[in-house]
Amino acid sequence: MDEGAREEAIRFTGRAGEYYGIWLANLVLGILTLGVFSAWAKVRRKRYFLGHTFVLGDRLDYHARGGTILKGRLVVVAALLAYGALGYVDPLAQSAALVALVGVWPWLLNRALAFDARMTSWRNVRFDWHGRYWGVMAIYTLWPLAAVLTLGLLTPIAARAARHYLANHYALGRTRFAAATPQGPWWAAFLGAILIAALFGVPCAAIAMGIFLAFISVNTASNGFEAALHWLQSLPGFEEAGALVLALLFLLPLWLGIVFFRVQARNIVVEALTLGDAARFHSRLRPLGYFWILVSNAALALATALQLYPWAQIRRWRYLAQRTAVTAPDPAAVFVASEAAAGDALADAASDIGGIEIGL
Amino acid sequence: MRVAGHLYRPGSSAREEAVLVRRGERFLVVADGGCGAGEEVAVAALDAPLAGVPPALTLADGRRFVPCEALPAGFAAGIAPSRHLWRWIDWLERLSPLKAAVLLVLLALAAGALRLAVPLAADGVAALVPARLEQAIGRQAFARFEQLALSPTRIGPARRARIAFAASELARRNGIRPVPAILFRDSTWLGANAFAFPGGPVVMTDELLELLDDDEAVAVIAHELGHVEGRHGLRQSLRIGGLLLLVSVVIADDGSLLEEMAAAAASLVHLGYSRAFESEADAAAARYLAAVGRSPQALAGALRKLAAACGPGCEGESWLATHPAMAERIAALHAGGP
Repeated sequence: MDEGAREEAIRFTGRAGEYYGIWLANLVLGILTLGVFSAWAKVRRKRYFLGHTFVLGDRLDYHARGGTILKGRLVVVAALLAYGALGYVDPLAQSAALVALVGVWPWLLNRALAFDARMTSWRNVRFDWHGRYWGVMAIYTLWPLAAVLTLGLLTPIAARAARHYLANHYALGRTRFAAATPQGPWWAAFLGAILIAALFGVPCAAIAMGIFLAFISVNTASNGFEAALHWLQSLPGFEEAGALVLALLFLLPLWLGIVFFRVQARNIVVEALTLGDAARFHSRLRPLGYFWILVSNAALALATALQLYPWAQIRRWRYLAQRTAVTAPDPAAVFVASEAAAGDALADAASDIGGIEIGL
Repeated sequence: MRVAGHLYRPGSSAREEAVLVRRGERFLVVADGGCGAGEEVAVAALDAPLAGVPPALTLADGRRFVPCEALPAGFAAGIAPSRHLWRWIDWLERLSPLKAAVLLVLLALAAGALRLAVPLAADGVAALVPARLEQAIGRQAFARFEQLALSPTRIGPARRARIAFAASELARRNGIRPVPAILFRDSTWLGANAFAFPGGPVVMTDELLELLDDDEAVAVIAHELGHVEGRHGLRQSLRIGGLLLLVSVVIADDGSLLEEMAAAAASLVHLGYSRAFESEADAAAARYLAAVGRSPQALAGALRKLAAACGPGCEGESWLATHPAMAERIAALHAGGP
């Protein structure tokens, strides 16, 4: 990396008003076609977000065809229906199918990751995924299992292994991404997450306790305050609302801890990420800032019957873009001569595979 | 006509500034920001239009031209297949207040239509399921359920035989064939309850039986027989399945929040279906009881006892309830009864 290298933030130019139209039109078309159009809607959504995301001055592109994604979805739906039907015919066979699925899972996941990578391009160069069966099995099945069996104690090691694997098996054209990080920061992030969840949990627990005590005392004494509580209790839906508030008071600190850890994990691994010797990456998400965006997004989308949901998506994506940057010694020609025509052959192979999607 | 942009060779991340010029049916790429010599090119494909994202052109040799600004009107005329559909969708996506209003109304109408269409479609599928398969499903579900939540009954054999005989007789005389097995099981976990599995059996818990007299127990079983005869279990699972399938397909790609909201909305709708089935089973029970000369009021009596045993928490209409409000059901039975 030479001295003259300049750092440039990723730029996102999407606008909520514009995206609202795309979201609404595609939602309506998706429902009117009983879900068939949603495969094309996905393409349009990804094209909008990636097409407005500029890395070193050039936008990302998404090339998947709706028909391919639809085929992948039909396969998944058929498999789910067959699995459900099997349970009625022969529960033992259903259990066997579940075991088989665990075995097939890493293979499916590799295909899904490869499909998505190969359908995404930057400067007419396609991304690629080089994951292997056992590598994916380890990071999505074995490590999480180990983390659960140790009551979460191995979470930093499992998270580090998974993100290292992802970072080291993506490529842009033939140039591989790479990242290596020491153990220390992962443990610091883990302890930080526990600490911040505990700190935030204390006032939440106090409020929950207060509400709970107020409920109990209602039956033993009577004054103006209790009369008001009685009146509240008589309102329709009061119990559901009360249960929701109490659940939120317990879940919010937990969620904060999880978001804190994930944000730190992204920062750690992206700060170490390189693309050959052509580019270096930076991630400066703020855990609390990002947590606030997630919480307020969810609250506003719910309060407006989803009408602010497209705005919320744009807001989140913009934050992620703004706080991510790339350093390249020669931004105009990141790796001019090193690339032969690898991209198209890969893309052709990917279109046979089909667009099976798996949520990560 | 000309448009400025960047040209990318396939498989290379090099970027050249270029101007794409259209003269009639011919396209020329002019390098070096428009000062270089023109090179005639063949355009192989054009991206579908999308608001705010200038569509890229793929050249026959694999190069891609990404314009910096929207293409001039008519620049892309005659290229890209199926352009009419995409142009129309692009027009739909470019929002105006009127279009938004129309789309929102359509959305509400479509949601309402689906709410009606899903039960119809599910009932259509249910009509194709042979009774024998339905019974196999019910037996399978009961076997699992018994392992999970039920233990042998503590009720004396004389009372069980009396009630089971009366209920079987009621089923037989109302033409319910084959007559479902009527079983009694202890379940501290489920408390006072009774259920019908698809095609039978009908199960009543000891906790419920202890609460009721014999006539009321038979009336509750008549309600459950109404579920069996109406194939409510099968139809309900098909409705839920259809609804969830639809929800997941329509918004499968849209990330976490929307999907969860939609699943929650779907389960509210399904609770609505469930309430409709309960009222239907109440009406069927009243019919069955009257046909064998028993009083439908026994079911109202059973509901009243259940409500009393359950305390004020069970009373009142809740949107989250699987059953209609007790008071409503009792009133309906009185209105329909002799």
